[in-house]
Amino acid sequence: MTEQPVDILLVEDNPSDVELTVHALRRERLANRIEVVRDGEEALDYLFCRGAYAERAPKDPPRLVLLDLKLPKVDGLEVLRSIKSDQRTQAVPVVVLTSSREETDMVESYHLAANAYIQKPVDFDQFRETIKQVGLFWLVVNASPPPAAFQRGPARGAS
Amino acid sequence: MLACAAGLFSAGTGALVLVGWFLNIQPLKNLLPGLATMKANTAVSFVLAGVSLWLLAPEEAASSREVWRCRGARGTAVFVVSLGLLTLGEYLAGWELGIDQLLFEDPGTTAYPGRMAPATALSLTLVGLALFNLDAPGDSRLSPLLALSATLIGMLAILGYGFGVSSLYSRWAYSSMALHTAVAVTVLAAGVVFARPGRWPASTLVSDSAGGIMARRLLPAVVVLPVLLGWLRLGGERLGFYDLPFGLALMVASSIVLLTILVWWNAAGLERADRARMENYAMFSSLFRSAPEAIVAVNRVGRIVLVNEQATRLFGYEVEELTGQQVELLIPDRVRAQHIAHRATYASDPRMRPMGSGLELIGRRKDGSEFAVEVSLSPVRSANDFLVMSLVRDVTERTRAEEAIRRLNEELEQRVLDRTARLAAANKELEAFTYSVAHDLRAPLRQIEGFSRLLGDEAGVDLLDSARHHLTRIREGTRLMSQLIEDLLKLSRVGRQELHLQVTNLNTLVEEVVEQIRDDIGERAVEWRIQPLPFAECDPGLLREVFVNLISNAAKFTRPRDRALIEVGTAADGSGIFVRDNGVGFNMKYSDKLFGIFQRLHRLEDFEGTGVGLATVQRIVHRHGGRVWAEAELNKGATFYFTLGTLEQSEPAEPAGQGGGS
Repeated sequence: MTEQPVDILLVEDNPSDVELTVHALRRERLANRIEVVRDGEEALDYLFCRGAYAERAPKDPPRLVLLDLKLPKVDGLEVLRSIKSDQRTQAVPVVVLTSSREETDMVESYHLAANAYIQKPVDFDQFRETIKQVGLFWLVVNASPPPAAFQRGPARGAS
Repeated sequence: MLACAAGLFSAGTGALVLVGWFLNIQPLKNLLPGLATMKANTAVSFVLAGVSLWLLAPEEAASSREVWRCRGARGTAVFVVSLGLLTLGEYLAGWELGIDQLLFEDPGTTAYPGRMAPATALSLTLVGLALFNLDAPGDSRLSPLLALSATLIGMLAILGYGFGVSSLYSRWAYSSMALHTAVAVTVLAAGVVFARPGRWPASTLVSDSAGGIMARRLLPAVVVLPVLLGWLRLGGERLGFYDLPFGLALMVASSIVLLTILVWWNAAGLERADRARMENYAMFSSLFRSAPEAIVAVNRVGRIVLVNEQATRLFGYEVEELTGQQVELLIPDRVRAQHIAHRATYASDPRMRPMGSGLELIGRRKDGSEFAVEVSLSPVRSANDFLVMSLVRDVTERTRAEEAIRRLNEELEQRVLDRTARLAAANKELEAFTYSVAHDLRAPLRQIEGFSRLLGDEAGVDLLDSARHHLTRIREGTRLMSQLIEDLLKLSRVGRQELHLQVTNLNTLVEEVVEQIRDDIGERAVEWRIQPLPFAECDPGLLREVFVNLISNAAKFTRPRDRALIEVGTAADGSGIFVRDNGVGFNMKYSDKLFGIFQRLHRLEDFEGTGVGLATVQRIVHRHGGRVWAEAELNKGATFYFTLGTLEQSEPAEPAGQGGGS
C-alpha cells in the first residue's frame, strides 16, 4: 500500500458505481489520492489499520469518507457508528452516498453523526454534478480537521 | 307494662294504707267497717314489693346493664321475705319480736294487735321470693310457681269475701286478711307472673298460637264463671228462692250450658284460625315442593330438616334418605371440613346471601358424581331454632358455557397474536423488499445510464445519428424506470407510514400545491377556481400528496386545451372534496381501472405517467377512512371526488385566491 496520505476513502461494493464515481472525481481532478474498499469490514480495517492495512500509518486518516449504506459483511451504518464512536476517527468527515432515500436510513445516519447524506442520482449528468460538488466542498472549500483533532476527543477521556 | 302497673298498684295501695295509719283514717285501713284492717307492716311490704316489681318490670333489668335496678329490686324483695318469715315465726314459734306495732299502735281487738294475718305473711313471703328469683339462673319456673301460689291465697281470700265465707280470709279466728290485702296480693303476684311475658307460663297466654288464643279466651271465663254462678246460687239459696239440691242442680246445669256455649264459640274461632293456617301451610308447602329451584333447609347443627322435590332430583336421593342427615352428605369429601367451618361462621352471623353473591360450591350426587352449584342462603328463625334455607342451582351448564367462552376468547386472542405476528413478519419482509428495490434496482439503472452516456461522450462525433438516437432511447428507458421505482416507493411508503393527524386548513394546502404546479407547467393559460374548503383532520403531508396527484393530473390532461379550467371545491352536498378539469377526460367504461396500480388510460406518447399516482391517492384516502371516485366524459373533462372519514364539518376557511394563471 502506498504510504502517501489518502484524500478520499470510497466505500462502495458496486464496481460500476466505483468506476462512475472515480470517473467523475477524476474529471474534476479530485481523485489523485483515492482509496477504494469494497465492503464494510475492509473499510474498518483501513481506517483502524488492521488486517491487510496493518502497515498503514494510523496518523494519516482520509480527508473524506464516501460511504455507501448497503455493503457486504459490515453494513454502512455499522461502519458509520464505528467511525464516529472512536476518537481516532470521529473527526473524519463522512458523507453517506447511497441509492436509498428511505427516511429510516436518513434518520439513522444523522443520529450516528453523518456529516452529509446524498442520494446518488440515476441521471448521469446529475450524478457527475453531485460528485463534483461533494469533492469540491470537502476537499477544497472545507478545512479538513487538523492532526490534533484526532488525538483528543472533544470533552471525552482518552480510552 | 302489666307488671309495671301491678307494681305501682301495690305500692300505691300500701302507701294509702300507711297514710290511713298515720292520719288514723279508718276506711283506708279496712275499707268497710267491721272488716279486718291491713296492718302497717303489710302496707310497708306492699310498698317495697311494688317498688321491687316496678324496678324489675323492664325486661332489660335482667341484663347486667343496669345493676342498680337489679340490686335495689332484690334488696327490697329480701326485706319483704324477711318481714313475712319473721311474722310467720311469731305465729308458729310464739316469738315476741315487737315488730308488729313498731310503726303504729294498733287499737284493734285482735289477739295480736298490729300483726298481719298468717295468710298475708305467707303470701308476701312467696311474692318476695318470686321477686328475688325472677331472673335467677336455673329453673325459670320457680318464680312464677311461687307467685301463682300467692295469687291462689289472695284469690281464696277474695272469694271468701265475695261469698261471705269468713274462714277463707280469716283462717284463724283471731286474725284475718284484709280485703284490699287480698286484692293487692293477687294483683302483685299476677304482676310478677307477667313480668317476663316471654317465659312460662305467661308466654303461653300471650302467644299467637292456637293455644294462646284459647287460653286468652277461656281463662277469664273459667275464673269468672264459677265465681259468678256460685255467688248467684249462694245468694238465691240465702234468699230462700230454692233449696240446696236444686241450687246445686241449677248451678251444674247452667255451668254445662255456659261452658258448652263457651267451648263452641271458642272451637269455632279456633277452627277458622286453624283452617286459615292450614291453607297457608298448604300453600307454602306446595310453594316449597314445587319451587323451581332445589331447596334444602338445614338446622343449626347442619341436619337436613326439609328438602323439596327439585333437591331430591338434583342430588339423586329420596326425601327419606336426606331428612335428618348432615348436609355435608351433599358435598364432596375433600371440601367437607371446610364446609363445616363455613357453616359455623354462618350460624354465628346469619345473613341473607342472595344468588350470585359469589357463593359457588361443588355438589355431590348420590352416585358420587360432582357438579358445580351456586347456593343462596337465607336464615329462617323460629321460636327455638333457626333454619338455613339453601337454594341450590346447578350451574354446570353455565360454568361449561363460561368455560367455553373463555376458551374461545383465548383461542381468538391466540389467533390474533398469530395473525399479528404473521402480519408483522409480512410487513418486515415487505420493508426488506422495498429497501432492496430502493437500493439495488437503482444501481443497474445508474450503470446503464452512466455508461451509455460515457459511450456517447467518448465516441463523440464518430457516432452515426441512428446510434446516437439509440443511445437517447436507452437513456429515456432508464429515466422512466427510475421514475417508476420512485413512484412505487412512494406508494409503499404511503401504505406503511404512520398517520400523523392534525386539523388542517385545506385551502392553504391546495394553494401551496397549485403554486408549485403553476411553476412546473410554465406558460399555459389555466383558469384556477378554488372554492372555500373546510378544515379537515388529516395527515397534511399525505393529503398534500393527494392534491399534488389530482391537480397535476388535471394540469396534465388539460394540456391540449387552449383555455384550461381547473377547479377545486366542496361537493354540493358537502360530502367531499372535488378536483375538476375540462381536459380530455376518459370513458366511464374504464372507471374501475382508474385507481389500479400501473393502470393507464392514455398512451405514453400523449400523456406521460407511471400509473401509480391515482393508486397512491386511493391508498391515502383509504387510510383516512374515506373513499375516492371519479366522474368523466371523454373529451369533456373529469372530476375526482374524495372524502375523508376524519373530515370535520367545520366552517369553510376564508375564500382562497382565485384567478386565471397564465
